[in-house]
Amino acid sequence: MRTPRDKTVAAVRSGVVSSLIDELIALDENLAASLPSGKYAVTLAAPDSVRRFISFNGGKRGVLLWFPRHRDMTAVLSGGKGTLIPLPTGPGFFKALKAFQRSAGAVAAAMDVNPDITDTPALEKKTRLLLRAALRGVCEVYNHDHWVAARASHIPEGRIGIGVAGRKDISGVIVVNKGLMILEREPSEEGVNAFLEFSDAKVCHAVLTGVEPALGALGEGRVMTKGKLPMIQGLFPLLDRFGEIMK
Amino acid sequence: MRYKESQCLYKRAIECIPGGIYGSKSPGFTVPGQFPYFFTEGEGCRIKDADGNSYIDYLCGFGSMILGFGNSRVDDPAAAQLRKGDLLNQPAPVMVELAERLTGLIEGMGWSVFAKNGTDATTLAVSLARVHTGKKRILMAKGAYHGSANWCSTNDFPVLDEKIHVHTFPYGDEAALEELFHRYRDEIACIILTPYHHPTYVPQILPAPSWYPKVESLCEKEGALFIMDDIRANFRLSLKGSHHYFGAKPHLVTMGKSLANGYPIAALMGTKELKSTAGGFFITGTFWTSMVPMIAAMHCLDVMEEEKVQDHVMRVGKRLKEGLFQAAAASGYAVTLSGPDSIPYMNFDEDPDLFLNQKFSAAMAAKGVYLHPHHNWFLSLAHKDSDIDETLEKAAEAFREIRTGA
Ligand SMILES: Cc1ncc(COP(=O)(O)O)c(C=O)c1O
Repeated sequence: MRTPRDKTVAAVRSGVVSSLIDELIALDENLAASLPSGKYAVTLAAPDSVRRFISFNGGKRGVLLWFPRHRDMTAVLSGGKGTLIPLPTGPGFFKALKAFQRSAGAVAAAMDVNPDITDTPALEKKTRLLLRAALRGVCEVYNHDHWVAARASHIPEGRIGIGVAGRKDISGVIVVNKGLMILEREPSEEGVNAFLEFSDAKVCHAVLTGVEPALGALGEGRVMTKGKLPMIQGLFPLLDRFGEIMK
Repeated sequence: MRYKESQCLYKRAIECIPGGIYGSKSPGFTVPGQFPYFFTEGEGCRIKDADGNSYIDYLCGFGSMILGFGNSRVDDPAAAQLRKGDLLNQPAPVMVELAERLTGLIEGMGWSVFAKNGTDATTLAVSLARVHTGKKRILMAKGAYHGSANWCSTNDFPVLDEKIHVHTFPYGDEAALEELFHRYRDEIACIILTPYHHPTYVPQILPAPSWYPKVESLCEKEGALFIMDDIRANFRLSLKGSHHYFGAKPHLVTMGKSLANGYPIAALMGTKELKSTAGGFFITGTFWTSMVPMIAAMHCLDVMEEEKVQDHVMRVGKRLKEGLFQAAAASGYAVTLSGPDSIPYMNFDEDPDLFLNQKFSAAMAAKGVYLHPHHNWFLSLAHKDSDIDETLEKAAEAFREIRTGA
């Protein structure tokens, strides 16, 4: 009963990977430069409407990667083996395929990096990626997981800001609306109902990597909860479940 | 650093206690980093935290301390009995005395049983209602708190199915309530209500004059029981029960918290007609018959009667409310002070998300006044006019500080 359903795991994993690809391309000029030129897009698809769309340079078509089973999607996107059928959806087919392979590989490598905490740029880069993964993951857990559904239904509608104090670049906004949770593409702090705020990138990194217990940092005021508390309290079980699903 | 020891203790706590401090006492429910987490002593209306900081307290042990901390008229006889034994094999005579006293005092109630926590009493009440009526469904107001048991808490997991037969309605919405009674006709065991609506975070709501007559007539038609959960409000509105204050006529009443000025005891009371159902129910707990809290309750009732505690807490509460309203206005804030005067709560009209509540409460904590940012407050017999004056002076400073961002 507690075991996550295959579809949930695939939805969470594919959501996180697609978000990380977007984020890493924005962060890493070398990666962006190494991708084929032009506009194209990759769609990741599995049964029951698990679909992720990744646009490169604003492209709309290219390749659809069809995973016949949810488990295939999860396995392939975790770096393992699984069945995957590439179907052309437009002229950018080969470029899209290549770009996906390269960027997915770059994401895996970036997530493996363990930055020295004195190397601020590297630490901040990793923190941005971790935060993006966590926020997208939380949204997918909210939208798909049966286990936390009833609890999560207590989260009031509205917008939750999460990130490092005073650092818009290491922050995100989650929107809860009509039973769906989404990560805002261009977050703005305007009208945010609640904040989960890390005092600096180091704390954010330590908490997201599990090096420091979130509660300890909260107790010392290095993680702050502000505003509409039930929104933030509702996030913690989702974050825990996200960790469980990504194991 | 003002809260160093609290934070060190909390760090240790999270290593060996899930959540460090759980439930409504968790730091996350306060203003983390800017509030004390551990307390060591209290006297009158003042409490001291683990760092030695002192506060005028307006949470009163979540309502329990109606006479104030260390009230010798309660504590001396309780401590004397403690030295002679608290939990003996069988109940002490005081159990009978307390039941007699409560049935004589609490309007409409013909019997009483005792437990420890409010949750014991509310859970017992809904179980009895189910057994008495032979029906399963329970109605409760959305956002109401009736304890930490799975039937009424936020522990919503697919394997905990105690809520399947629990249905909620917006407090005071007579049409919604009527609709539920209609939808589940012949299936409703009970409705459980607090005397007025005191959810967390939002302004408290007093019942409209038509509310209880409507509830009672719907229950009567359905053959459902009406449970008054008076655990939070009890004795701050009326010595005869908060239902007396609002003119309501419940079948079952639960009490706890202030019944014994902080000693662990809760009570479930019911009308005479329900006594045989209660008698056929297995009701027990190892500590439910312990004597010290019952002795404390008897003395607490004495003091409440003699000192007219309701008049006092209403009067000082009114002063607090009015003073806060004015102090807020002086800094350009419109605030709503809701609830009965003895159990107030404050919201900033411009900020339903409570950013300002949190700033204000943190500023007040730093000045030595404990006003919870998210939970309603309580007055006690120990709050004197001078405490209210001191609170209001500090509140004026705090409002100014948050206005100027100081
Ligand atoms: C109205 C009400 N009912 C029940 C309870 C549960 O009481 P306890 O915490 O003693 O179990 C509370 C506690 O706050 C309460 O306020």
